[in-house]
Amino acid sequence: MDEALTLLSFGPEGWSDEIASGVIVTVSLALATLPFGLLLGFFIALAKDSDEPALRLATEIYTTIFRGLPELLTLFIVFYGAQIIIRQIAGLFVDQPTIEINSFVAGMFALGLVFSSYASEAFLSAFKGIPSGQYEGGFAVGLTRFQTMRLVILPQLIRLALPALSNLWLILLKDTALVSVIGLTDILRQSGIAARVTKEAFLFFGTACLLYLVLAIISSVFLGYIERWSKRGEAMR
Amino acid sequence: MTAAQVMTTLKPALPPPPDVVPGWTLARVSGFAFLGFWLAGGIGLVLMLYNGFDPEFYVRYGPKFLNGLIVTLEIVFLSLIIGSVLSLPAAAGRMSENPLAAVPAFAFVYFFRGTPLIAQTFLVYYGAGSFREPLDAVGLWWFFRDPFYCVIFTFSLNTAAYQAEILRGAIQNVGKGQWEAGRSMGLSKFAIYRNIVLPQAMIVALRPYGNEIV
Repeated sequence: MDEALTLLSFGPEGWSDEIASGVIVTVSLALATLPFGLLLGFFIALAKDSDEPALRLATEIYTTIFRGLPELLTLFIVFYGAQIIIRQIAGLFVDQPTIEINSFVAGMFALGLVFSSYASEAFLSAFKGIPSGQYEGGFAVGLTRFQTMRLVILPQLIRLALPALSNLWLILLKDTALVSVIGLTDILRQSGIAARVTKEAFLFFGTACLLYLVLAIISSVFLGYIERWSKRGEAMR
Repeated sequence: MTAAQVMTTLKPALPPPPDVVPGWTLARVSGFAFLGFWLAGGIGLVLMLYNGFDPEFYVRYGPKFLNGLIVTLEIVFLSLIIGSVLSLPAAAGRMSENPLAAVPAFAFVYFFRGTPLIAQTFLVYYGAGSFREPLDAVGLWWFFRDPFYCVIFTFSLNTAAYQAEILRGAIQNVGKGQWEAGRSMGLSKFAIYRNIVLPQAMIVALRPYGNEIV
């Protein structure tokens, strides 16, 4: 038991500082992916809701692809495939280009693509839940299209889409574990290194699982606050 | 004013409004651009496969791909079946009022839903090595030494946790009146479950089950 505590302590003999840096990488990756994925998902949902058939078809293809592929495969395609493509494009201008994609950016991009395709479904069903009278009311009082969207539709949209989106956030948090395979030193990779060095695999992978649980619990608390905030209008009724 | 005078002051009928020609709006242009992107990507993929076509490559790696596909399917089916069996007691435990059953079931479901699947798999496969001696003593070491069994083990438990939640949600959505009706007809608790509640719960649960498989 003392041995395990030493291994988990901070400092030269313990692995906690390494694992703590892994936690920071995991959390920052998830937080960096969130706005990117949300924004992309919102626009994809707008496109799916539009009257233009070409746009609808194109976005349907988008969501089908990224929901159908396993996240791990998307990650590999973005990390290795995009590297080849960028190198070839750069090869047109310079000889022997040496461009490497940062694994953090690749992970953020791949997870963002997957997140946005799921989020677009959540946004789309929220859009369908807002009656058209809300748009007409906005136009009737002289708001522009952009103002109607921002002041009338968006506040309702957030309330309707929030339960699905908070589920997606928890899934995203768990999916960040996959980036350890492209060399990002997140929680899982750091505990994997620690497990290999110390031969205490169960201890370190168990710690990693518990850390993910703690992150999930913390985010549930925050999501609870956000949900109450988004329903503040309803409470007064 | 007579009727004839009124007729003369009327304006002649207007021609029908011209057909609305859909212009090249932003949505249209971006839609076609996006579609063109997919088309280019698809053609590029086909061209790449065609140019890189090499019979030797297929002879060498084809069977491996096929093998991988079979292993994937095996894992999916085995863990789904085992998971669905395990999900029944887990769901029953989640709904139980007895803390001895509810607390472990809650912990089980929370752990497997709250942590990444890949971390769980690592925990079982590499972590089992830490308990080699006790496992050897019970005669279970062969099970945890094989990656295939480890994956089946983890995936079954994982999907059991998710299925238990789906099942619980579906069962609790079946109205209370259904229970009361069953009891008033003198059916036992088990009979109500099997004949009344579960069929209705399955209707609700089938859709998320489909998601879970994917």
